[in-house]
Formats: sequence, structure tokens, C-alpha cells
Amino acid sequence: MVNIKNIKAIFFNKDIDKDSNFLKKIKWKSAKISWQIVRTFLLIGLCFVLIYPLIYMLSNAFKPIVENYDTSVIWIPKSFTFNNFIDAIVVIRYWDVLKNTVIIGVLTAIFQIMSCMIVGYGFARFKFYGRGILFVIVLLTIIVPPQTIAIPQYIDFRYFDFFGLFKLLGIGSKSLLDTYWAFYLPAIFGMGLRSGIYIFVFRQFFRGLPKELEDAASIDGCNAFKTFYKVMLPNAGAAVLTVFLFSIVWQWSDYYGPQMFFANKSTISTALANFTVSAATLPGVTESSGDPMVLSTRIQAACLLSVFPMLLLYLILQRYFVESIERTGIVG
Amino acid sequence: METGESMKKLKILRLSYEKRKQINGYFFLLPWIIGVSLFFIKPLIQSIIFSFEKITIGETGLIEKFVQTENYYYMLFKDPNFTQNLINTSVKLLQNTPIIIFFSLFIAIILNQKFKGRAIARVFFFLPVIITSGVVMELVGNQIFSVNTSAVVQDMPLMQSTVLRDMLLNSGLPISIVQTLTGFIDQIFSLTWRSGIQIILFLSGLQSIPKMYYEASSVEGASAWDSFWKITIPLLSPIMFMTLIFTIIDGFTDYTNIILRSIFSSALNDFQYGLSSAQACMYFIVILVFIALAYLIFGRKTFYMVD
Repeated sequence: MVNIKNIKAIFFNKDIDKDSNFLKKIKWKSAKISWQIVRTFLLIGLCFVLIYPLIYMLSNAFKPIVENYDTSVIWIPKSFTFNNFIDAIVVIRYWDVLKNTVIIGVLTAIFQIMSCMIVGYGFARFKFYGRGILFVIVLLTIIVPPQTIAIPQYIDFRYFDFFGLFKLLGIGSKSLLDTYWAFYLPAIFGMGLRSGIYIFVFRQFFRGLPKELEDAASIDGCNAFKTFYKVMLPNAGAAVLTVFLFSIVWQWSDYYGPQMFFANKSTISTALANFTVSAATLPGVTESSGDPMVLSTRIQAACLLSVFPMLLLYLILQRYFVESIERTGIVG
Repeated sequence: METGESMKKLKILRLSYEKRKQINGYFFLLPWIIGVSLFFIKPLIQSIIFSFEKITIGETGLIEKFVQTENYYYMLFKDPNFTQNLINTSVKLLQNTPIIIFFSLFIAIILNQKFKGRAIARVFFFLPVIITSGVVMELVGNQIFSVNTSAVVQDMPLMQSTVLRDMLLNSGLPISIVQTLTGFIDQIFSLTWRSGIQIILFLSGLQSIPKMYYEASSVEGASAWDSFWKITIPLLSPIMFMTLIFTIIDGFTDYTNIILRSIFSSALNDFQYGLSSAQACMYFIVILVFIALAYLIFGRKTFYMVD
């Protein structure tokens, strides 16, 4: 009892004696609280900005076209309809296009993970002549926009010949256009879409692992490759997940690649970009094509369809995603 | 005697171990070396060569004709749009990049603080990373921002600051200030949607700063403001530089970018491969200039802990 009284007295005295200190405390506390309030409002506002397109898509996608002209309908339509989705699926040939996009996305992601991991490991853990220059080239591949090399690459893929090997074997050049190989082949050799960034991520990640791992493995009789897939691979989970998500997301939303290499096939983003053109096949569209309202709800439905698989993936992997980015140490 | 021999053996082994490591390094890089020479260096050189040529499609393949700098001359002095578009894009980038950097740094610092609902807020702020699709954002954004496509938008100037603009103008502020202010607010939508990756980079950078530095500085009597400028900013500067470079590249390769469209349309629609390559090379040079500028201004000032 006495003790507590003593302490109280000390505190009390202090506060009264040093008035300025007391005031400072109050000031600090009020500043803290007001900052918390400002922060909360700011975050809510920005979250709203971020969710707004999704709400907009949802609100429009289920709206009957007639209600577009009804000014009393703002967010929640008076009746719900799936017709927009049905039309959108027909217009962008959704299932076909989805199949294309998923196959390309998943396979290129896997190829990119494999190749970039190997290369990143090579850059991180081996000292050899010319490593610095080669790494500068990696950075250069990030900087050069893919559009700069797109035209020669298009021609290259049109008459593809692997270092003249096909000619030697008597096959002649092959066209990679309209095949998935236009995406797989660069991915396998570590030059897919934004591969430079993934190499960088893996390099940073492997550099952070302790050196003793390799030495121990080498003493136990592992060669470099065995060390890589027995010791390093099992530890790279976080980096793999990060790269997988980025790779699949960027491939999913890439427009220029498919636009360039596909003439008859399409992926989600090219199909979506051509929506207004291909929507002319719908009944009732051609007559009033001057009116954008006719298509707007269907376009939103198509957008929602295109975003939905990624959103689902994100919601499933979201927890691991945030964690793995923190643990990957992209920053190094 | 025996120990000496074994030492000698060990030395030979160790030498070969190092050398073996060196050779193994090349083995690990082999796929990438093939890839980079086939899918990067070769097309890059070809693109530069193409930009000095006039190319027509013959029956057996491409017919190339060397025309010196004709393509560049046409692009820079005769084409009415290209130079103007290039300047517009650069100016827009100069305006947006600092805003994006500061905005994402600010958000990352907030998301790094402890508060209720942080996990949910992070889910929201990483959303732009998932929905990066320029096509979707253009389709949705067009409808949100255009006044005459939808009755909904006409009634709700939600994302535009017309109300605020009127209010500020009525309160007697000069027009130029009001316009920069409201211009920023009008852009909030596109800016928040473009800073997803930047926020992630900054956040992971903030988390890599050891907590003990802050503890030590607070023991020494530094305020939060001091420790922000003396600890956070210097230790974050490498990531800041990385984010800056990423933002520049991202801004230049945006889907809505008008120059990329003209590069593509002159190749795929007009079949002028030479002109298209010249445009692409010119564009790459502009990007390089920007990155070099960023390096000259900020690269020297970044502070590396280890190196």
C-alpha cells in the first residue's frame, strides 16, 4: 500500500512540478489521437478509391440494359439479370479464351520460375569472369521496353530457326506465331515477360541464404546441381510464390505479347480490348452502335469475368503473398 | 611429412573446388545466355539496323533497303504527331513520378504502423498489383470518367472535384493554385491504381530496417521526426532509387501509352517496319535518358549499408 502511495505521490509531484512536461504529454497524446483519426479517414477514403472500379463493375454487370436510361437507378439496379454475362461470354468467347490464358499463364509462370531461379542462383552464389557485365545485361533487359524488340522478334518467330539448327536438320524454319511456343520458348530460356525482374528477385533471395549451406552440402558430397535442388530449392518457397504470382498476373494482363504473336487466337486482354468490335455480332447492337449505353453493361460484365479468376487467386493466396513478399527480401 | 603431403593435396583440391565453382556458374547461366542472345541481343541489334532501313515484304521474306536516317528524319520532322506525343508523355511522366513515389512511400509508412484493420487495408492496397490489366482499367476508367456515356456518372461527379473546384474558386483562391490542387485530386484514382508495386517495395524496405536503430536513437533522445530523416530515409534510399526506376519504366510501358500504340500501328497496320523500329529506338533512347538522369541526380545520393 505504502509503495503504491509513494509511487503515486512521485508521479503526482512530477506532473505538477513540471507543468510543461505535463502539457507536452497532453500535446503528444492529442497529436497521436488526431493522427489516428486522420489516418483512419485517409485509409477508408483510399480503400474506397481502390474498390470503386470493382463496385462499379458489379453494379453495372447485373443491371438490365433498359435501366441504363433510368436516372433513378444509381448503384443498385431494380432487377438483376445475368444476360450481360451471357452476352459477354459469347462475345469474347470466354471459355475458349480463358483456357488459352490459363494455359499460357500457368505454364509460362512455371517455366519462368525454373529458369529464373537457376539463373538467379548462378548470379548469387558463383564468382566467375564477366559476372558484372552479364548482370548489367539482366538490368538492361528490364529497362528496354519489350516493344523496342517486338518487331524483329515478330519476324524472328515468323521464320523461327534455333541458331540455324533446324536448317541443319533439314526441317527448315518454323512459324511460332499463333502457337503457345511464342511464350514458352523465351520463358524457358529466362527471357519471358519481365524475366529480368524475377532473376533479380531470386538473386537477392539466394544472396541472403547462409554460405555454410553450400559448404556443408559440398562436404557431404553433393555437386553444385545436387546442392541446388536438394538444399536451395526447398528453402526458396517464399521467393517462388512471389514470382509465381507476379508472373501469372503480368502474363494475364499482358496485352502486347498476345496482340503481337496471336492472329487467330486471343487471350483475355486482347479479347477484351476488341470487345466493341466483336460485339457487332450481337443482335440489336449494329443498329444502335452509335449509342455507347447499349454495350456499357456488357463491357462491365466482360471486365468482371476477366478479373474474377485473378481476384479469386489473390483472395486464396493473399495471406501467403503478403508474408512471402516480406520474407523474400526483394530489397536485399 | 605426411601432414605436408595432405596439405598439398588439400590445396590442389581447394583450387579445383574454386575453379569448379566458376565453371558451374557458367552452367547455371547457360540457359539465360542462350535466351538473352536469341531473344534480346539479336532482336535489339536487328531493331537498330531496321531503323535505318526501308523494309518491304517480298514473297520469300523481307526485302531490306538501307536508307540512312530517313526514318528518323520523317519521324522527328515530318510526322506531325510523334514529337508532340513524345514530349507530352515525358512531361506527364515528370509530373507523375514524384507524386507516385511520395504517395506510395507515405502509404507504405502508414501500412507499416500498427493499427486495427491493417491486414484488410493491405489487402486493398495490393489490389492494383493483381488487377494490373491496362485494358480493364481503361474500359472501366473510361466509363467512370466520361460524362456522357452513362446517366449514372452524370448524376454523381464522384471521382471528379467539380464541387471542390467551385468551392475553392468561390473562396477567392487564384485559379492556378486551384487547378493544380484539383488536378491532383482528379488524378488520385489513377495514381492509387498505379502505386501498388511501389507500395510493396517500400513496405518490404521498411521492414528490412532493423528495429534496434530506432530503439537506439530514441534512447539518445531523437524524436520520431529525427529518426525518420536520419534513419528511415537513408536506409530506404536504395529502394527509393529502385522504385524510381521501376516507376519510370512502368510509366513508359503503360497500356494507354500513345507512342507504343503508334509503334505498333505503323508496324502491324501500315507494315512500315523500318519506321516502327526507328520510333521504338527513339523511344528507348528517351527512356534511357530519363533513367540516366535519375541515376545522375539520385543514384549518387543513395546510401548503401554494406557496399
